[in-house]
Amino acid sequence: MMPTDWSIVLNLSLPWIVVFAAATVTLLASASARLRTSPLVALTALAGIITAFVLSWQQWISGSGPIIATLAFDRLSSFGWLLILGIAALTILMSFSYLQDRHAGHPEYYALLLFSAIGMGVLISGYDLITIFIGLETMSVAIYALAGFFRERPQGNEAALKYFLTGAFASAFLLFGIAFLFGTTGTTDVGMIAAQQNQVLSSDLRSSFLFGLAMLVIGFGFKVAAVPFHAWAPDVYDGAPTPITAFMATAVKVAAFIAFLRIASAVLVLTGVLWEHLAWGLAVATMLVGNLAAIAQDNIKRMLAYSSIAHAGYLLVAFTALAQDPTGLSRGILFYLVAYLLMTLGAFAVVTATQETGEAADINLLAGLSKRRPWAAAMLALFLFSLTGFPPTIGFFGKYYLFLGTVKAGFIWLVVIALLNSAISAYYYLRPIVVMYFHEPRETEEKHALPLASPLVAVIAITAISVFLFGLLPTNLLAIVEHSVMAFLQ
Amino acid sequence: MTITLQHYLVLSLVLFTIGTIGVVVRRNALIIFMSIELMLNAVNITFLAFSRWLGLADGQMIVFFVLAVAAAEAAVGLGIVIAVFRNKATVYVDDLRLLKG
Repeated sequence: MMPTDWSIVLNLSLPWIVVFAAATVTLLASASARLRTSPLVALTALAGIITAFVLSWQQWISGSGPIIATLAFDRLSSFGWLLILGIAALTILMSFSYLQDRHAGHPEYYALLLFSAIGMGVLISGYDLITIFIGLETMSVAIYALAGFFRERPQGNEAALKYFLTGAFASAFLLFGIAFLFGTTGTTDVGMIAAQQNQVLSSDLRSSFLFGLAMLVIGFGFKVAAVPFHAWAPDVYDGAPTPITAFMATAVKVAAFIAFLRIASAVLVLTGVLWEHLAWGLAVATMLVGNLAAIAQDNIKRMLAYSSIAHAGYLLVAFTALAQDPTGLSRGILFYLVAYLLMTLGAFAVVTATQETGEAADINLLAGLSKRRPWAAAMLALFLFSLTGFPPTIGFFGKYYLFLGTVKAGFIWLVVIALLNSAISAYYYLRPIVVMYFHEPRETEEKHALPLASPLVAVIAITAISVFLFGLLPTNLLAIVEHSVMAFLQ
Repeated sequence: MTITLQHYLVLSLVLFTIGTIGVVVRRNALIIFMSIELMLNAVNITFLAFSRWLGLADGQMIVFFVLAVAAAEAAVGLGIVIAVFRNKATVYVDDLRLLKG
């Protein structure tokens, strides 16, 4: 093995170090009573993220870096890390007024958010199963705490406990899988496992190796909330503070799916038809359960939780066909992740706005929103149309590229099932729109609401413009995504 | 009788299964958490057994990572359990049913 040049590592991981420094400063600020409630804390966190964003953008432009030790500094890593930083920045903007309205300007909140983002960066770049595990845990442990951040709220406690217990349970499975992969190949490096795979699969270690892979898939299945490992998601999404729910529904999924894409395209696809059957079953179950359960929900946060399960199912559709056309489908998956995170973040931002200073998220509270907050109502309608997949929004092109690639790979029936599921989803996505525009508000509702906080408006505006703009001009985004996946597949 | 790799693997599988059953069957959050720790330690035995069998030190190093992560998880997890106990004066997960759809 070549000796590692640490100055290169330091240079390449500079964005993480910046975020880590910002998180530490934020955490130190919590020691001062005056700084605890100051907006400076949020600004420090935001400044760290923006600096890191610019640095990783430069890294992306300068092309794919090397795989050093256990980290891959390729364009996929830079792109994924840009997405995570973008989500973190929008979450901080969303949280600012949320925390102020609840008289809780805790610096720990922002510090935990940044620590979790660093974990996601490691998860995305990890090229060694143990590094991936460490990244996953860094991400998760911070989010367990964030889910129950308002510790006087029983719902928050319950969400945090459920998330913690299922998350720790899942990581034990993931680790058991890693142990068997290590035992059968003698390495935890993804590339070296892939190189030895065919030899191992034809030896008497075959069943142990496949057992390890199955455990690994279960571990990731829990994190991305694929059926049958999804039961925690609705409760946790419901009980957590709304901006954290948005962060969990977007950043965690993006990070886990990109890491899974790396493992799947290197290792899982080599098992051929075994992986195809497993992914086929997971995808169909996840889509069906997500969409059917979403119909029955009266709470918009729970509805969006089941919708995020359904979207994980659409992504798994492309994973099924990954062996046939790695470039085309990785591109589709990445494009879909961008589309999904933009529309989901936007929808949660509007939900945060409609919650005012309370926590209730009942769908009937949206009644009359079109009169109270006409812009917010219009934007929520846009995000919901995009989630359904209507043109000309980004959601349409996300599904188009994803399903087109899968059809080309020969999985026509799977795509037919996915399209039927999209049709089912229209039912529950259109319901909030009907409630907003055609239901009369209850008497107690005030007719004119206070103006929204400007950071929250900025989040809604940024996501809405992106959803609409990339819906009209998807090719620009597609080109960026294509450059990002080219390098890691070679 | 010599103790081979298979013996260790069977031991760790048995421990892992006991842990899994514990998580699924028991309703006390602390016992569930202990069962998860049992699963993690079963994984550690697997790593050590494979490490010895392969003649590689990697597995023994990984065990330290796992221990560190388990400690971090324990800190946060027990903190959450304490927060729950302060609000509800119970650690039984069946008593937590505010969130239902």
